Amino acid sequence: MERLVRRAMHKDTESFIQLIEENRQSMMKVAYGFFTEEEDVADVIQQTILNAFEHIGELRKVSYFKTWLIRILINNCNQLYNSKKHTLSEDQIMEYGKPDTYPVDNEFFQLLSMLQPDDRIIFYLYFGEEYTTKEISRILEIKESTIRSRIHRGKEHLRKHLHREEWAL
Amino acid sequence: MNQHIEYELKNIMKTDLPESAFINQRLQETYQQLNSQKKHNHSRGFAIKAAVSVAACLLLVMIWGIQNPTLAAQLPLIGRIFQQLEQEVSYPGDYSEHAIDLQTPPISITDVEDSTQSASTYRQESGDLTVTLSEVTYDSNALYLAILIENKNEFPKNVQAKSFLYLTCQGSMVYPDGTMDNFGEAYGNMPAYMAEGNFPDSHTFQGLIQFEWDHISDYSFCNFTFLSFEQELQTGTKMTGELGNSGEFVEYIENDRNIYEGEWSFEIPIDSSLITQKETLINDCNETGFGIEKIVVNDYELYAVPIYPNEENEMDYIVSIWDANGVPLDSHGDDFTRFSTHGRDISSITVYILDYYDYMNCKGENYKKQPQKAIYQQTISLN
Repeated sequence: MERLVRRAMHKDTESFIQLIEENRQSMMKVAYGFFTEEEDVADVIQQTILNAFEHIGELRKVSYFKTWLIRILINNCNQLYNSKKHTLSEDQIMEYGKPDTYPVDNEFFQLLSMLQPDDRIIFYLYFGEEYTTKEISRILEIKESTIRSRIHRGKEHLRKHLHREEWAL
Repeated sequence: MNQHIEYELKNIMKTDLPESAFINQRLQETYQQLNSQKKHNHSRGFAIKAAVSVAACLLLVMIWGIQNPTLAAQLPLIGRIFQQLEQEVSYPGDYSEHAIDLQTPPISITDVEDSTQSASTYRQESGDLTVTLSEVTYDSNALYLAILIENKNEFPKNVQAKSFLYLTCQGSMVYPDGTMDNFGEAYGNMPAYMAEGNFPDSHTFQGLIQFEWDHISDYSFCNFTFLSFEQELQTGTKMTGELGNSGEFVEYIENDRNIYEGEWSFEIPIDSSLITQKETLINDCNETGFGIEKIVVNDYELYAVPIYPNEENEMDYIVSIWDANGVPLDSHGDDFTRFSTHGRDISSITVYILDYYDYMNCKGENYKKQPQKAIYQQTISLN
């Protein structure tokens, strides 16, 4: 990957596109941590790709590429999310925030739908991307203890909402 | 991270999402857009931006750890916990400089009216745990507690995290007239969730607790009771559960938890004369109606009180504050209007008010864009 990043930093579009493709799943999952609509996910990913290509020459360390890309994506997600909140009517806001309308019914989306909106992106970065709480704190610019408490809260929330059947180990 | 922990959660989070024709098409359009752009040769003579590397983050994580037990055994822990941990927690500060040693409190505390506290009452035993409040300090927005927990039995070794304990508590902040503001799960507010620190040996935990509460100086006492301390273990029970009412079942591991329940009750007198807070009045507005009313500085943090035009929603704007060296201050809590002053030169600060969207483009590594995007800025001497 490092070779691809170095080439992309010299504006080699083919290498950059390959990097995006390698990180496409991660980007989609991050975006679905903010939005349920495909169109919104597509919008923020598109904007992120353009932003990243424009600024990739400023990347300080090639090994940091993915984290850097995710941070750009999260910034764009926050922008779009807040702009939607400002333009929607009250009824539309109530509909917009509903967690149950992901495009596909699979385990990933079902799990997201059970979490508080604030917890979804943290859960994905922690369990999906396996960032440390310190790294997530830096990415989201949220205090690390808040990250930990939200992970704890999210797991508690899942425990309460699952109808359980205990298995013997 | 232990393979047994939250195994199912990881599996689910790593599941590939199905292909979306809509998103695929948008990506292809974007790639065509990139390919159609001309390659520009830019001079990369940008100023070096502050960056945090993943390796640096991991190194910081590695700083957390169990102290050398031999060394720890030789030195008393009580009275030194702030000194040992104040740089290690996620809210660093010079707490030891302002600490009140609860084992030998100063005259000003013992003279507080109606105070019946003695050093021994800061050590409470309930069940297997003995909890000692070693030191306390506070500013106008939070109490900081240094705590020692001694276990009759060994703390489990197979814990998920070796640098904190979760906790629950309840209590009240008491005004001089006896009225009080309550906190706890029953009141829907929990000013503290965890103690950050380490395990000097298998029977001992030392940590700091940041207890966030506004206007501490208005109160004369804080009464609180710890109700539990909790650790998540690396073992668990295989469970299966239905996701909502979908009819779909998933397997997951419910981590075992090591919970110490009990009641460890303490009363901490608050002497408002010990709270140092300086306000610098600014009362400045620009022609668009944005400005700063005042800057408030206490022992560990500072914040600005902004002025917005009447028709504007303050939620649409962000205040950023740079230190005397032109570096943005870090937030000191969940509220991003409060900034940590730890290790910073705040003899002179520059306050920027930015539109929320501009701030999101100008934070972190892009902070140097803030001056050109700010709708209000002011450099203030705090000497």
